[in-house]
Amino acid sequence: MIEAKNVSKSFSDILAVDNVSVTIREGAVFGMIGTNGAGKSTFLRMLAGVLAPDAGTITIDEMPVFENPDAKRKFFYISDDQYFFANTTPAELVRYYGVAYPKFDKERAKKLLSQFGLDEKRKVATFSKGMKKQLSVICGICANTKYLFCDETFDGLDPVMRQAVKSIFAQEIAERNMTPVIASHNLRELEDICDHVGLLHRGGVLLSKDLEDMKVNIHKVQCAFKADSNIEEVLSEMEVIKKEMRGSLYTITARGNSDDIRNRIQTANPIFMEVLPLSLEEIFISETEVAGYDIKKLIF
Amino acid sequence: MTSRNSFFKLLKEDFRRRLWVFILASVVFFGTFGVVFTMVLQQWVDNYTRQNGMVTDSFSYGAVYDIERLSEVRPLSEKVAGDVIEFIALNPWLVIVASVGALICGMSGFAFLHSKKQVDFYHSLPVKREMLFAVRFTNGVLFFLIPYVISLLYVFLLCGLFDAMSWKVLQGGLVGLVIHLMGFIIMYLFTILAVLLTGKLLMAFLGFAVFCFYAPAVYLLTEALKDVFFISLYGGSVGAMEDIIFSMKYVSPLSYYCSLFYSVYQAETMKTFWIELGCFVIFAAVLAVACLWLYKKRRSETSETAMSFKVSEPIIRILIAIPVGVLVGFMFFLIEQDYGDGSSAVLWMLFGCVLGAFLVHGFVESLFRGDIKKCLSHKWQLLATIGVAVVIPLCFYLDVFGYDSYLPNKSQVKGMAMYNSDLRFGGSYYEMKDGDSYYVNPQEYGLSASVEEFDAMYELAGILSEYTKTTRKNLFRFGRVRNYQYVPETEYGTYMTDFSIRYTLKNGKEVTRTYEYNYWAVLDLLEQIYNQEEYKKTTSPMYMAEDEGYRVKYVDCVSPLTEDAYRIRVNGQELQRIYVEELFAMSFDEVIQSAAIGRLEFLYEGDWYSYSAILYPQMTRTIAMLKECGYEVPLLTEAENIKELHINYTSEAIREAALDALKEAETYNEFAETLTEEGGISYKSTYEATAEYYEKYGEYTLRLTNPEEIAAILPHLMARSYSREFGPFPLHEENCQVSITFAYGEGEEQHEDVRWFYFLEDEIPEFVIRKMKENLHE
Repeated sequence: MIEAKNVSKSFSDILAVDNVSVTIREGAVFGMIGTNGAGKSTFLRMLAGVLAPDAGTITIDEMPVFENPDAKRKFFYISDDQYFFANTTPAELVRYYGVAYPKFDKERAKKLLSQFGLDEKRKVATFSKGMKKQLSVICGICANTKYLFCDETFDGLDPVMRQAVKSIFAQEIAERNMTPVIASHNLRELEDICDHVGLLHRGGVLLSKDLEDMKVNIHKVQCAFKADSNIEEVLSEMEVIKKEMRGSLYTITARGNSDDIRNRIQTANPIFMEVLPLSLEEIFISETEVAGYDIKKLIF
Repeated sequence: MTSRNSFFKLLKEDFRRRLWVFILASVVFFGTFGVVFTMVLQQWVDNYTRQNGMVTDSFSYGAVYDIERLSEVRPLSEKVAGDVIEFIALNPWLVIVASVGALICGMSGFAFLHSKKQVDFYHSLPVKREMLFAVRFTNGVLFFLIPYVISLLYVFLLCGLFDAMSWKVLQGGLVGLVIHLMGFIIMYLFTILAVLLTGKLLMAFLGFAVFCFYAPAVYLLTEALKDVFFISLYGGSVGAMEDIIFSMKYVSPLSYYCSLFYSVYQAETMKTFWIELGCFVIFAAVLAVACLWLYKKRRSETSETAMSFKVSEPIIRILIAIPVGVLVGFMFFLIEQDYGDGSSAVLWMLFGCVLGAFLVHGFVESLFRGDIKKCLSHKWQLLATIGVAVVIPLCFYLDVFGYDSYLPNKSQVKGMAMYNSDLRFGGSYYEMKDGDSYYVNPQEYGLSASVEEFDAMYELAGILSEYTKTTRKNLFRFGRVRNYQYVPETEYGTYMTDFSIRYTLKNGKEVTRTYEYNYWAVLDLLEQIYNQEEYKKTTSPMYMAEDEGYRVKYVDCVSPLTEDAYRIRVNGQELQRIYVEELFAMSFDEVIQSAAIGRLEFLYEGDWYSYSAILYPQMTRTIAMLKECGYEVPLLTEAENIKELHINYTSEAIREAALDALKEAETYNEFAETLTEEGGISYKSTYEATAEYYEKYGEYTLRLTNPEEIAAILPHLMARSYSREFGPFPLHEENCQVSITFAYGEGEEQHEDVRWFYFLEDEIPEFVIRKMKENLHE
């Protein structure tokens, strides 16, 4: 488990992280959402032991991170702009990581490189941005660490690669309980992978919740009614977050228990009713509205 | 994985990453020790082999006539050892290689701290900073050491193949290795320090430059200020470059390295070397630990910012702005002095200080902030900096601390030493240390000879100090700069010379000053000083040699008539003892009124050092002993091969006669008109006009060939070459030089040699004066 308690960090006059407290459980994918300058990278760098917090503590499995190799062996950090040695090749990089991380699986790395179509003897400097990201992810996976910190790692990957990476993550999570911590400004990118999300804004955490918990309390229902339906009356008694109408087709997003929402709508005698999956963005909109923020102003 | 295991694995990986540094170092060392050394060794071996290993001694002043001819045969390895050691150890190129190498190793090893990407990478790895530091530091040293050692082994192997290898070469090579490794490490540690204190590569380079050159620059600036504003400054005596190097030994890593190299080059003793090495190891260890501590304290987020530790910014800014402000002000002062009339030099100086401090403070501020608009971010600091920059040169200009007026209370003084180049004994000074000889500057030798009976010296110091005080008042004042104060004339005229005085105080402190004054005006005091037994014993190297029991090997005898040296082998110390006795028996009056008849160079066991000693006609026992040893001192009065004698004189020598001649001119006005047309000095007095006219046009030569006349002149002459170099300044007629032409051989083989002499003071024979006057009218 990763625990950050009352962590703050400033750079000169700029308060990058302001009294953040977060708990990241093992075996769950933690997504950190926030706009540019929200403090995601700074927070992640503190988790990775690169930066020392000005206040608060960060522990990984109850060990302080900063300057603690024992704690650092538990994670692999992929920076948003990963560094590669000059004139290095993937093979040399794998060898280096093999020295730094005792459990590094060189054979698997070789195999994954081949699967992703990356020539292990080719200079990394000749790789595209996306290929470099792939290489970083492969190294991260093969380090066999308990945690994997990814800072905007999916940015730059094509959809196919993104899916491939997500599936590898899923496999690792399932097989050895790996815990990825993924920072991104793109909700859609994390849509189908995160179990827990945290929203950072101006250095502070606006919310931090399990996705399932969030989904339990908010539902989207698509339904159609006859002209004389009393749906408006029914809706007025519900906690509707969003309502879209196209002719007689209603798309209603409401807060509340799933059965309760169904039953209420049922009372309006819909022609048909279907519960639709909510996007992460829609969930966030609702949750941040509770916090008093207009999500559209925070993220795209 | 154990820490040790990780260390070596990481070391190997880092070595791979920075292989280019190792390759570069190898190429440089291979080029130097491999290629170039192979070529020069071959040349040395060829040269010495051609000489068949024969060695003959040579004497720098002319041909050597060995009374007993001597030749030695030495093996090739001994002959070539000096050259090999000079190449592999005492080679200034190695200082450059080590210094630049240290910079490259330090920057390449720790520049990752200046890149956010690299910092994120390395500091997120499960590797402690201590390990990262140790790995990079170690590799940096290995990159220098491995190619150096391999090259050195190659040198030894090659010397072995050419029979040029010896224990001396091995020792020299190893000492050189240690010295250059020390130099490398100190430069390397300061490079790392510069990188740690900064967040950008450019700032690191500037920081390293500051470490190397700031303190020496401030030191030199201070010395320059003292040199210009302190009239009585004692500028040191060892020799400009040596003095500078050793004075600045501990102020910067580069000056430390250079002084270390130079001291080995000057062959300081091994005992000093081991102490130096021990101190160095401790210092280097402390510095390395300090670097590690800074690295651990250094925040990762400071990469790509100007300075890693904000607390250092004002310190650096102020410390750079102040001396630069002072420098600019000082330069303005000098420019105004040289090209203007000097009246506004001080104002220009103050302006320059303000301008320089302001500009540099602002520049450094904008460098730190990365924004020129922020150059005035700390206004109060800027004002304080300007204030200090203005005050410092003013303190020098006004001699606020009383440097020039220094004269300690007599009761505070334990001993004094005085040096004047016209009062010293002998020419070359050497001293023995642990079996080796070292050249000692005569001034420093004289100043190290403190006497406890210093009444005369103290009185002299009082006169000199007072004169300097009043001179200073005229020289350094706001407004128009006046001329120096008038120096009192004496019957012997004016001869301005330097007097260095060293006070040894009862509290152990030594204070030295140098004054300029008229030698003739303090002749009485100089006589008192010279006649003191204690003074002679402490300042005469001959006495010291006798007292210490230096073994005399040869004596080279030089005559002013030929300047050839005749070498005699001397048995025992008798000659030296007799010479010293006779020298000390002569009074000051005798010395300054005697014409030296020769010079003796005493050469001692151990080679390469000697003392020069002047031979006077009063030294009858010495002369007799030289004769016993096979050398008869040739006397000028007994010379039989004088062809002719020329007296070259100016009208100053017979000023009154010139004036009389002028008065006897048919029409004075005609002469005055001539003066006006040719000299353009019609506004001057008759006397001044005459003197200037004859100085400008009045150089005359009187030629004498009559043997009787020549014979009458010879007893009154002294050799010009002995007038200043080897003893108290003898009294002589400055404006009258005599050249004697000696003829050697006959017929076609005849050749001539001209030697120069002065008349002793007031000893120009009457008939010569008469002839000189007559010559004026011709």
